[in-house]
Amino acid sequence: MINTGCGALLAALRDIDRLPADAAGWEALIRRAREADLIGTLAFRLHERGTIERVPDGPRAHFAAARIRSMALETAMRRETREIAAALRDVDAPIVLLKGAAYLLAGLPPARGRFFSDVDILVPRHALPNVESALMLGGFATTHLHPYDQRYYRRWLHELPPMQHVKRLTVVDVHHTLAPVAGRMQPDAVALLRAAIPLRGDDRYRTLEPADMVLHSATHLFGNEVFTHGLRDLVDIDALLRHFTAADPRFVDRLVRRAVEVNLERPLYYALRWTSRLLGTAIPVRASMVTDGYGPGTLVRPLMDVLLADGLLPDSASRSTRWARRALYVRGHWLKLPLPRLAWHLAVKSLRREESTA
Amino acid sequence: MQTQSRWRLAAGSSAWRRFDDEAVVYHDATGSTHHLGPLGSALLAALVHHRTGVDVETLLHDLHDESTNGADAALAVEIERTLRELARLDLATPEAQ
Amino acid sequence: MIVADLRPDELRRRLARAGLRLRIGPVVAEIRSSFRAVEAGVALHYADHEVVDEDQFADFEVAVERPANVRRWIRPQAIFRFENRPPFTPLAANQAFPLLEWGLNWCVSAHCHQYLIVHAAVVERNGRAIVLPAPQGSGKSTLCAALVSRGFRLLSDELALIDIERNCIVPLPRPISLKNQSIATIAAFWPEAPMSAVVHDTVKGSVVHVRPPRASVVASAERALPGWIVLPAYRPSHRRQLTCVSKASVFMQLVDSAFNYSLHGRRGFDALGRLVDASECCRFTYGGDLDDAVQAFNTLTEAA
Repeated sequence: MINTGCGALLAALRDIDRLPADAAGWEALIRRAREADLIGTLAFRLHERGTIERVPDGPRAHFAAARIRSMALETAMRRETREIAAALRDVDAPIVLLKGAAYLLAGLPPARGRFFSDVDILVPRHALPNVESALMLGGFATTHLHPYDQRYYRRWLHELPPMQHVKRLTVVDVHHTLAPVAGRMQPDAVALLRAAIPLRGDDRYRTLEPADMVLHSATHLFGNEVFTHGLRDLVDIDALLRHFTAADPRFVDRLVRRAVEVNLERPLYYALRWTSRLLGTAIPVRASMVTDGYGPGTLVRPLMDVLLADGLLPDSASRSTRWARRALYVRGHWLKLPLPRLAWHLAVKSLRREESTA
Repeated sequence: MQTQSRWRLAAGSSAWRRFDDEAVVYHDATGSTHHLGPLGSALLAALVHHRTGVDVETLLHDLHDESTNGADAALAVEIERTLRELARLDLATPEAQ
Repeated sequence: MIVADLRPDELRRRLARAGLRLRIGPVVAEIRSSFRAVEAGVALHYADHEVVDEDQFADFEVAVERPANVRRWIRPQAIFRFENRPPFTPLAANQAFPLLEWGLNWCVSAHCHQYLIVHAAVVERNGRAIVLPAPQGSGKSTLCAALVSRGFRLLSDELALIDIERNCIVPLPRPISLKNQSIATIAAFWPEAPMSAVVHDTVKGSVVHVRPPRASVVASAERALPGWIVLPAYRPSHRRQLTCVSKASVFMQLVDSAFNYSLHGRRGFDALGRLVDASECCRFTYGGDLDDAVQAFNTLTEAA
């Protein structure tokens, strides 16, 4: 059932010392890793372990190139967070960094070798207008100018349309909750913001508290419409689970309790199930017994298993993956919008696509 | 026009390389690269030399060429203008008086 | 074994199914295509390139194929795929071979970040490189083709690969692409040029490719040390002129012409600095007399 082209990639992610034995194996590893946006992560792990010495010259050049790119993106990300902090210095509200920016500034494992892109921040809903104007003064302009898209982002999703800096061309995504306002998952954003912790050595930014960070990553992956980063997000969750459990052996128990507190049980079910299945993350049995109860009904469960088995893995043009992705795309939208709205939105999206190819 | 102002190399590291009487500079904090003409390069070199800051009068003296006697006022204006340009590029900082 | 050693049916079979693996300078590309034009283009332009076995590592997997939708038959198109994903929109089917070339340019410039990559032509004489950085339309490809026809070794007509550690330039010998007026110019100057048929109405106008000389391909493992950086400027009916130009402005031109300068940060700044330091820099204005132009380069490089 698992897309066999990804065997080499999954093996290396589970254990970076498990290297391909021949050229075909290296090709599969590098191509799938590149597709999954994980080649920088692998390059970092290879260097960290010293295993890079055992990599033949051909493949090695690809990891060298990936490393150069991820280091440059890390520098750019640090610069960008400084610029954004400066733009937001007069805004009187907590600014919580999410995802890549958070992992980097908090020194967490998912940052290592990552190809950073947008900066994601979470702010209280009431602060949105101030944050938006402060960013505009700082040189950021809104994107997605079509009025329908603006409404879609603002009213129905959980974020402002992405804002792009006019000179640096970097993008910041401003969220006020972690799942769409009108969708079927209603996380408790106020609780998440309240529990956010300050970054060491930085008075401007906060990050989500560890359990919330894992839950956010799970929600981002399993509540989203776009699965192209599926495996990358799963690798993040796995790295966070390992890191936080190493510091606190009862972390997963806290995680499970927290999921209930903030209404994010279903994404946690998927996160624990799939990190252990694909990446071998050690989930304590007592925890998975509880989260199994958070899964979908007995009829839907096997269907989701089939879809996700294919949908989480890099595309590689396999027909079953494309089908799985399409089905998951509909599910993603279904989670985001109430049904009547969904039909309207998909209709508009496909009309617009036709406009642009005419 | 403040000819008594003091100037200093801006904080943050940068790398520079001279080619004849011009220079190129790489600014670490922003990742930008700049091309400095003869006056800009000479001023940057002077700022590097005067680690704790320098006033325009001293710069004028450093850059003064015997053959341009009497053109001090014009040179001073150029120096001020170029220093402000260097400040815009985050390479120099005026010191508060 | 080189491409010319393959029987036509074997070449076709590899391109259609298992993939044809070619060594191009430091990279190995696995190419698939069912287009006859691509087969013909490869047979002509990559005749001297080494064919690599299936059990050797290929850096890039590329394909030029017909799309899966109606554009397979109706106003047929060709689509470029890199590792099964299409980085660009499809082009008209008659542009299949240029599409392969543009796709390979993209593969290298978007992925080979172990090098500092500058948009420039590079030729070599006596082990020293002559780098010709220039935006489109400045005549660098015309000049490059002219120099190559008269004995300068071709390292690349588009992508200068700079090895940062060793401060040298790595060859990537591939067909020289010529556009519009320069096609006629080179055809007149170099009648025996191994040129493909003209492909019209591309986004760049009319395009041909010229096969790289065998000697350039055979020497593709020999790197070149810095020698000269020459900014070409084509000015019709001007006398040819080699003038001094400030090294600092050449440096900035290289920064502007580099694909991945920002990825290398300070290391890139230092690498370009070393390259410019070690090279004689000048601007070369010429008015279309290519004999004269080549003569100027001969004089320039003999004086070394």
